[in-house]
Amino acid sequence: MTGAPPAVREDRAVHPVDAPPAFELSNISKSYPGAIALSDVSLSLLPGQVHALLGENGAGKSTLIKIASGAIQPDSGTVRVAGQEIRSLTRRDVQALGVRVIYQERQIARDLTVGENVMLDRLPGKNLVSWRATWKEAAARLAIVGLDLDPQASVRGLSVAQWQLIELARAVDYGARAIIMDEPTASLSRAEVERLFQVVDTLRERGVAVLYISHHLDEIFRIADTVTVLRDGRRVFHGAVASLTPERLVEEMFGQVVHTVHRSDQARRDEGPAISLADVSLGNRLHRVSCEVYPGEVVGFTGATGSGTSDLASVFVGALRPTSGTVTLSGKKRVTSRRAAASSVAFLPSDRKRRGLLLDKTIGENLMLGRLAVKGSTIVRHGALRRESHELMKAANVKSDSPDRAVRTLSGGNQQKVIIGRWLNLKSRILVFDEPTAGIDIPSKMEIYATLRRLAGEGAAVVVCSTDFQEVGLVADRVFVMRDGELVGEVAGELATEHRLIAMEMGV
Amino acid sequence: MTSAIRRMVRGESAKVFAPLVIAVVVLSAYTEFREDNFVAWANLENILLQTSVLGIIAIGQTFLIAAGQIDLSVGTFAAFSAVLAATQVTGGRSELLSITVCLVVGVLVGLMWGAIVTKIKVPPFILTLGGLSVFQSLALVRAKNSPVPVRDSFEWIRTGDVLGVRTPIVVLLVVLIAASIVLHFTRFGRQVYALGSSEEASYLAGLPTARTKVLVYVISSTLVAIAGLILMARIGSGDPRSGGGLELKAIAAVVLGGASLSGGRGTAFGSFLGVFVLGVVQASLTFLDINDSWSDFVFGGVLIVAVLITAISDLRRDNQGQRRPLSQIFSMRGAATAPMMPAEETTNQQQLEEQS
Repeated sequence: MTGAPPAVREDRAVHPVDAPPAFELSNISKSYPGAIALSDVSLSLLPGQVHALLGENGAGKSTLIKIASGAIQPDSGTVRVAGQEIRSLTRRDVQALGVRVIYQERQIARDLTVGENVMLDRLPGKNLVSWRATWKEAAARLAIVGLDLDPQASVRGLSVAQWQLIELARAVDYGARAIIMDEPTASLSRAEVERLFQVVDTLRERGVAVLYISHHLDEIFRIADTVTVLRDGRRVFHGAVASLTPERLVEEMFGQVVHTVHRSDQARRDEGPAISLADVSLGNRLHRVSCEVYPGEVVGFTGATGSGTSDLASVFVGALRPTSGTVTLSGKKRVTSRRAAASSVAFLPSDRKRRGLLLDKTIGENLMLGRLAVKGSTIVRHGALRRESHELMKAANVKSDSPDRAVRTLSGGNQQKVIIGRWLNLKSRILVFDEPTAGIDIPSKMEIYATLRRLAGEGAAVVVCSTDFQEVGLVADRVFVMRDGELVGEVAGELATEHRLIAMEMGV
Repeated sequence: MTSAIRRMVRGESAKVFAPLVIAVVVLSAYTEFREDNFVAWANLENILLQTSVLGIIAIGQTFLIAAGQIDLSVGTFAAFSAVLAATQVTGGRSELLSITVCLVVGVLVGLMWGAIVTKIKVPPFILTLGGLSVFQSLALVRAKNSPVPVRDSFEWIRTGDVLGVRTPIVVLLVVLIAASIVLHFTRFGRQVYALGSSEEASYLAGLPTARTKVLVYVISSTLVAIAGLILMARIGSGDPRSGGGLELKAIAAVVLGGASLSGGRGTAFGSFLGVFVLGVVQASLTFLDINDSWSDFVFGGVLIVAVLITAISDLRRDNQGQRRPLSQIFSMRGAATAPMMPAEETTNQQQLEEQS
């Protein structure tokens, strides 16, 4: 997350560079009706090396992972594991060959124990499960990933980071040759990220090849030996990380660099706060939070994962009712426990797939969810809604040809724009964004920041809750820093550098 | 409005309706070929009359299933409603008052289910499974274990007509048209689909999810009360055992009509078509002089075939040319193959698909 990349990289690779690749994709092409997902892409993973895969959303990373894991078949090209060519792989075949995938979403059986989750794909024993062997083997693997947990304990109540390490423990059996990690740090705190890196270093020493997918450039420089950059389904760069600068990488990913947000403080303090919290507590998750947000300004709340930024967002929109304290909307105290009427408070929740979207519906239906939430005529005029969907797609810059496309086919950045687009026509007085750009590419991020600024410019009060320090520093007029459910400091946006915010968060 | 209807017919719905229409046409043609006079207004009227009770219940259930809910107590509640109306009339109350009592009870029962499901968050499947037993018992107790004859009462429902169309059919068609309009052309209707598609996303977007949920239970229970009245009028008595199995037939018809048990899909017309298929099957068997015991077999067969067709076409759409083993048809989530309850966590399979 922070710190300049060390200058020397070469000493990282424990195994000689001329060792046969653990896993090799050669000249892979894959097209879907109307779109080419991958075109002549090659990639090889060497034992004991961490290979980063970069690219904005829609560049073909997901398709590549699916092919590497055997979930789908390439149209052309070959897949080799330890030098041996494999045809028509199923996921099970790939698994048996020692290729493991750690997906972005957690693959944990919630009702089982830690040990069963570690040994999920291969419980020891011939006909009957040998529980003694299960616990013993699980404990050994947990030790490898540095996780000090009782194998017989339930996985419920553990953190997402711990779940992720349990999955890693599942992946590191003796046959593991290559481990593919898809955005492993997306939902981790800084301390947890550092721990994950230590585990990755351990894997490297054990001679495992790691394919590491991430949006965070600083992570790439911290952990990777070599990097492949995809753009529009093609490999545009391939080489050692040591020879690169972050600027060069960004240029390879996007062609050109756009990296500023126009910020001007237009807060209308004379109108009184649009929303204010007074001594708001929420169980042991929020403690006596007081703050005011004025029309026309963007206010950021940041802190480590679990510091309460997400809970605060839910309190702002009324999805969680504070256990004590008051929430005042435009001078009126809010008493209802119902989610605030959308005309006054718009909300972009974190976890867009589960909490933000109707995944089985079309783009148009998802855009119109905002309309359904505000007061309006009883009769729905489908023609008018359709026209509005087209308008909103354009306004939010959703890249798709028709509102009738299924929303699940969009990339993460475009899905997020759909949720934002939902609110653009509704003149909401308050907009609350919880992790607005988690897991989406830099150009989409910049577009979303510009939209947030525009909404504030039009007189809305905008709240951004994010564990991304850089993000709030970039977009907000004022930033509050949170720790353990409390506000521990406030700083003006132009002074909110990442370093400053982290220092405040740590109490320096 | 017309363009919306055109789109509705052309899109998803057409794919679901086509096999049903084909099933009806083929069955009718075959029966007509073997025995004359199958394709005739009198016979169509008879089929609609036979299926009016189930049709109204299925349309009510459509609201629930589209909203991701379910009510298993509709069959026995229809019987309870029938017994209630019969005992009211034989007890000396007027027909109008008896009907009113039934409708009020229907609304109250819907409110009760809705309130319990929204406030205490009990899974509706289990809750209404309990309701199924409770209403069966209440009907038996109230009827003292045997049908309560109503003699000359409700004659206007039994034999009456409106402009030459028999009263139960008129009620069915009115319910069908009203439900279609509500589901497709009102904000409430669209909120029902949003709720069924994702309750959490709907709630966080600010939709009145609790109100929507209560209302679908109220609508369904009220329609079931009406169906109970027609059931009672048609057989001329309030029979406490007359509703058995209607809930499963209704749910089967709703699914046949294109709904997904995980919510977010389904239309009133589809459900009506599902019920109509059942009616045509039964009538064909009668015409062909085949033992009526076979009717459930044929209907079940149509259901299985329809579900397979939907699942396979969903697989094709989702895969878009990708190869996937046939075994995954059974773990796929698709229109009719979806799990009974919306899963709390997304499954691995879904996550894989969603990662694109």
